[in-house]
Amino acid sequence: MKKHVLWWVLGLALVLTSLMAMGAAAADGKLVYLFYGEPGEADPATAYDMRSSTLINNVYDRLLTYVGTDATKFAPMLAESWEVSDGGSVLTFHLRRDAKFHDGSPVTAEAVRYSFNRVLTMNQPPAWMLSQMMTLASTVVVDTYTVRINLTMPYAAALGVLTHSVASIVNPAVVEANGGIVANQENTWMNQNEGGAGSGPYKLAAWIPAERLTFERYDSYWGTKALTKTIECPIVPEVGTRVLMLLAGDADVHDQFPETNVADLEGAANLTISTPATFNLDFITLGCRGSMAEREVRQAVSYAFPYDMVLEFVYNGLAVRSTGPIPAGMFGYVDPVAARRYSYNIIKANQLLDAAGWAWSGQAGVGYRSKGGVELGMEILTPIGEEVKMQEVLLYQDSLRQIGFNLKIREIVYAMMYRTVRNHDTDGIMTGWLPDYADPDNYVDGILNSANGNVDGIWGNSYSNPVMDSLILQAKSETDVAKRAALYAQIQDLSFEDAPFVYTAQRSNVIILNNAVKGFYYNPILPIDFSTLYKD
Amino acid sequence: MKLSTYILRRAAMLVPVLLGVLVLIFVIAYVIPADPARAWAGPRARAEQVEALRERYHLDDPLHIQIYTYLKNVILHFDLGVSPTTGRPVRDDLKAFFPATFELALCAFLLAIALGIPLGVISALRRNRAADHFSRVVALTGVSTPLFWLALVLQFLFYFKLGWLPAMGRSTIEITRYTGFMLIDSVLNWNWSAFGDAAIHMILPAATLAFYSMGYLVRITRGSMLEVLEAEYVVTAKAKGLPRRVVIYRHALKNAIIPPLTVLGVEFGWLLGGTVLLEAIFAWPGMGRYAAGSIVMVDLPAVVGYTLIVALIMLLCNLVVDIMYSVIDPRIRVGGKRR
Repeated sequence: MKKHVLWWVLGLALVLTSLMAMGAAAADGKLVYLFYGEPGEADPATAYDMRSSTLINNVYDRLLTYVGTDATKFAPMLAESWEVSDGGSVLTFHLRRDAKFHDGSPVTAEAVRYSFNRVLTMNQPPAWMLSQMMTLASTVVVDTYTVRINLTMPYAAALGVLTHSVASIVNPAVVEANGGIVANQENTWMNQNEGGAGSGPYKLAAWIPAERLTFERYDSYWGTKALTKTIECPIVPEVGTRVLMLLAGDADVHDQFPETNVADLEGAANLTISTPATFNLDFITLGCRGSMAEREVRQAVSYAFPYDMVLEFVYNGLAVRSTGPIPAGMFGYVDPVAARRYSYNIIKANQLLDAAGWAWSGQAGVGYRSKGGVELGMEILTPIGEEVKMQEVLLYQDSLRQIGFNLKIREIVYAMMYRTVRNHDTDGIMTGWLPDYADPDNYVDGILNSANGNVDGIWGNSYSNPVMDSLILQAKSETDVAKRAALYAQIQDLSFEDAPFVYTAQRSNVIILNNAVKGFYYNPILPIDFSTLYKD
Repeated sequence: MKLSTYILRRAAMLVPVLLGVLVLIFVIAYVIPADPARAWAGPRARAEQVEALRERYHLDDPLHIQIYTYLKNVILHFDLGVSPTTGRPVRDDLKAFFPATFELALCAFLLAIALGIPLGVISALRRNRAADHFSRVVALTGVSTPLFWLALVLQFLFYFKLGWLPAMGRSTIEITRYTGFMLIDSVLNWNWSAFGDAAIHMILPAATLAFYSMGYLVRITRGSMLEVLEAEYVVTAKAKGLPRRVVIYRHALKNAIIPPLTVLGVEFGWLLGGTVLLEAIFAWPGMGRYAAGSIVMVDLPAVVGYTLIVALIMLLCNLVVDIMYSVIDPRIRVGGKRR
C-alpha cells in the first residue's frame, strides 16, 4: 500500500508540474489595473458609475477634457477650439480633422449631434446632465467639422458637463448596425461592446463578464499614442486577494483602494501609496422634519459632531474636514473663517438648545431633552456592510447624548435606503456626493435646491429656503466669474446658517502603484488615464 | 414500473414544481419593501427615468400580470428578461456564469468522490488503526473548517508564499469559448497551454470546495462500510475464500455505496449553490457572485432566472440519484418497492 501511495504522489506532482508548464503565458507590454467590481455598462448614454467611466473615458473621446491634474482648466480633445457666446447660451466647437473612430471613419460634427441626441432620446440615468441644458433641437451641424449647441438657458457649467463620459462621441454607423436608438431604452449591445464605436486611445478588446476587461492600444489615435500596448483589468471583488496580488507584483495599479486596508500594504517595498484629495463629500442628511425642523436644533447637532476624532480614527487620516456643500479646491469654494464653520463644541450646542427651549427631562446632562412632549432626536439609516459609516454614526450617537439628543440608528440594505428616506419613513441617512463635473452647481443644485425638488427628491430632506433656491438659480447662469464666485460664497454661508446637512469629510483617494509604473497622474474629476501609464 | 416510464413521469413533474418556485419568487419579490427601479437607476436618476424603468420592467403591474408576462416570454421566446444591473439579457448572463460554477462544482465533486470514498473505505478496513485515525481527523477537519477561511489560507500559502498557483480567475489565456467550460473549450481549441492554465486556476477553488464534501463523504462511507462488512453475505463471501479485493469491491462496497450515493446528489446541489464566498475570494465569475449581486440590487429578473435554474438543477440531480439507485442495486425498482 505504501508503494501505491508513493506512486500516486509522484504521479500527482508530475501532472501538476506539467500543467504549470503548459499554462505559463508570457507577459509582454502589459499593465494590470485592478477593478474591485464590474463596470456597469460600456455605453456612455447609460453608464453612471466610476468603473464604467474609467472604461468609457479610455475608449471614447469627448469634445474637451481637463489639463493634466488641474480640474479648473479645460484642454482640447476632439474640439480644437471653442467659443462661448450669447451670454453663455451658445457653444460653438471646431473639431479636429484627423480624429478617427476605431473603424477608421472620421469623427464629424454629425457624430457629435448624433451622440448627444442619442443620450437625450434614450433618457437613461445620466441623461439629465444633458437634458438640463439641451433639447433634441439644440445641437446643430454648421459644417462637417463645426457644431453649435444652443443651450436652453445660459449655463456656466456647460463646458464641464461636456467633459463627463455621458458626452462621449460615438460612431453612428456602429450604433445603427447594433440596435440603433430606441427611446427610453438601453442598447444592450453597446452596454457590453465597443466594436469601433469609440475614438479614444484604447479599444475595448474583450469584456468577459465578471472576469476581466482587456484594452488594446489604438495605434491610429490622433493624439499621443498610449505607452502600453495592453491594459488588463481583472475584476477582483475580495480585498484580501487584491492585497496579495499587489504585494506579489501581479497587479500594477489599484485606484480607490479601501482606507480600512491601507495598513496591509504599508511598508511594502514594491508599492507606492498615494492619497490625493478628491471632490468626494460625505455628509449626514438631517431630514428637517419633526425636531429637526428647527434651525437651532440643526446648528446644535452640527456643533456636536466629533469631526477630528472621525477623521483620525474612522477615516484613518485619509480625509479632510468638509465645511460646506462645495469641496475644497473647486471653483466657488471659500475657506470659511472660524466663526462661520462648525467645530466640535458641546458647550455651544447645549447653549443653542437651551435658548431654543429644549429642556432636559431630569437633571441636566442626564437622559434626553424634550419640548412640548416631543423628545429631541431623530432616526438615521446606515447601509449594511459599510463599516466606515457605522463607526462614524456610533461616535456621533455617543456625542449627541451629551446634548440630550437621541440618535436612533437603523441598518438597512442599500437598495432600500433611498426609498425609505424619500418616503419620509426615516429622518436622515449617512451618504455623500461624488462629482459629475467640476462645477459647484453640480453640488449645490443636487444637494440644496428645493425649487426643482432635488433636496427632497434625492435626500428625502424637507429643507426649503427660497433665498437659497434663488441664489442657486442666479449662480447657474452667471457668466461673470467674480460675481459667480460671490454667489457661491453666499450659498456656502447660508448653508452654514441653515445647517440642513452635517458635512463631515472630504475624502482622499487611495491609489496603489507598483514602483515600476510610471506616467501616472491624478485629476480629481477624471477617471484614470491609461494612455500615459507604462512600466519601467 | 419501467425506468423509462419513471423518468417521463418525473420529467413531467418538473413543470408544476418550477411553476411553484416561480410564483413563490414573484410573491416574495412583490412584497419586499424595496424600490428596485430606484436601486437600478441609482440615487441621482431623475424621477421620470425611474418611472420609465418601472414601466419597462412592469413593476407596477399586478402580480398575476407580471407572472403571466414572464411566463409568456420564457415559454415562447426563452426570454428571461434583461438584468437592469448588468444591462445584459439574463439568459446571456446565466449562459456566461453557469458553466463557471458548474465546472467548479463538478471538479470539486469529482475530487471529493476520488478522495472521500477511498478514504472512507480505507478507514473502515483499517478500523482503529493509524489510517483510520488519520482519515477521521481529515473528515472532521473537512466538515468543521469554514470554507472562506480555508480559501484564504490556501490562497496565502500556495499563491503568495510558494508562488505555485494563481490567486484568482479561471484563466489568463484567451480562447474561443464554445461551451463556457474552460477545460473542454481549451481542448476544442486544441490549445494545451490554455488547458494547463485553466487546470492550474481550478486547483485552489476546487480543492477548497471539495474539502467539506470530502470530509462528509469519508464519514458516511466509513459508517456504511462498517455496517456492510458485518453483514452475513460478506462473512459468507470471505468464508468461501473469495479474494479480498472481490469481497470488498464487488460485495461490500457495492452495497455500502447506497447511503453515500444519496448524499452525493444533495452534495452536488450544495456545491452548486454554496460557492458565493469562494467565488468572491478567488474572483471566480460564477453564479454565486451573480446571485449575491442581484439580491443586493433587487435585480428581480436576475434573481428569478437564477432561482429557476438552480431549482431545475436540484430536481435533475435528485432524478439522477434515483436512477442510479436502480442501476447500482437491481433490487430497488424506481417508483416501486424494494424486492
